[in-house]
Amino acid sequence: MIELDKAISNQLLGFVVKAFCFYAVWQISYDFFIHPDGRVDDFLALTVISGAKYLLSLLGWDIYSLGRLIYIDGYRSVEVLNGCNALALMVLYSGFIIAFNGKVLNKVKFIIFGVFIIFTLNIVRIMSFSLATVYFQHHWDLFHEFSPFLFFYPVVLFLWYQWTIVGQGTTPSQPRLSLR
Amino acid sequence: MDNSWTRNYSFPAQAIFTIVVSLLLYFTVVRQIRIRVNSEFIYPVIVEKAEAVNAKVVFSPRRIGIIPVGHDSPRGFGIPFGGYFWLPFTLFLIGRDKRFALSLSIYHLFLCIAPPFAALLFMKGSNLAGTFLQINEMVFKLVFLICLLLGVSKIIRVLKK
Repeated sequence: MIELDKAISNQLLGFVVKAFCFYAVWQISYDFFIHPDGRVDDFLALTVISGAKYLLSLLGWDIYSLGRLIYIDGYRSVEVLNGCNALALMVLYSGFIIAFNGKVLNKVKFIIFGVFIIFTLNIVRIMSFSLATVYFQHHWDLFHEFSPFLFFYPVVLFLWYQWTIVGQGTTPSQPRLSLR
Repeated sequence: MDNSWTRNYSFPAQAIFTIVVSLLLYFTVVRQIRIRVNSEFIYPVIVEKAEAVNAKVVFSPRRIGIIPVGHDSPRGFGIPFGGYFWLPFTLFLIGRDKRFALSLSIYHLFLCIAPPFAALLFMKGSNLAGTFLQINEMVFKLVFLICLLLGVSKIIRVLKK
């Protein structure tokens, strides 16, 4: 296994500076252009709702949506707010890929693939939120709070780990970085 | 973990012991302290400052959110040394990685100062401070996830030895 601590330590300063700059540029763009415009947030929220609604109806649920609300007939609705559309996580994920060394083409591929995976996982997450209103409404808040740990973080960590391998131009069996 | 008595036990046993102790410590002591510090010290100060500038404060036991005049959604900060600290910190302890454990601790000490200060500026109308708070949230998650990655990778390496 590659020594991630060494890999990251070796380029720590550059990594931190690049990541911070990326997030700063993103946040300023978001605050002043993307959020006021609203189309990106709306697109992500509404597409996720459409996907969740479609998949749940395929599974036989009486599911309805109204704007950013999605609900199973007879149960409480779930609202997909801007914080729930996974845009921040997509940016977080991309920031790591961009800040960590690697070829530009590989970075683009990893970012597109990862963003698609996060988007898909968010559909599953919203589906699970709707189902949670049926099966464990009393624990809904707790489930919502810890949902990133179930749906997003393991996958993001796995993809980042893969990127540290691809980005360094190594394979798990033939690491170019030193092994202890 | 480096004490001589721990050498009598296998690495997995030490790891499980460390996780259990850490979880117990977090849920019985640290979590309660964080809630108390927030509700009895930080929240009253923030509310007092917010009232002076007509800003709203959104309170949750381990987090403070601020909605200044002219804004519709809260921005704020969590109380440091929470689960996002203890989980990777525990992994570093298991992997005996003092350097990263210390770095993470220093980062959370920084979080005790900078975000509350930015929150005070944000409630007074500084949009730049609001942007800083959001960047901080993102960097906070990045640090947490990278620390998890480092911690788990170190433990796997030790296990493979």
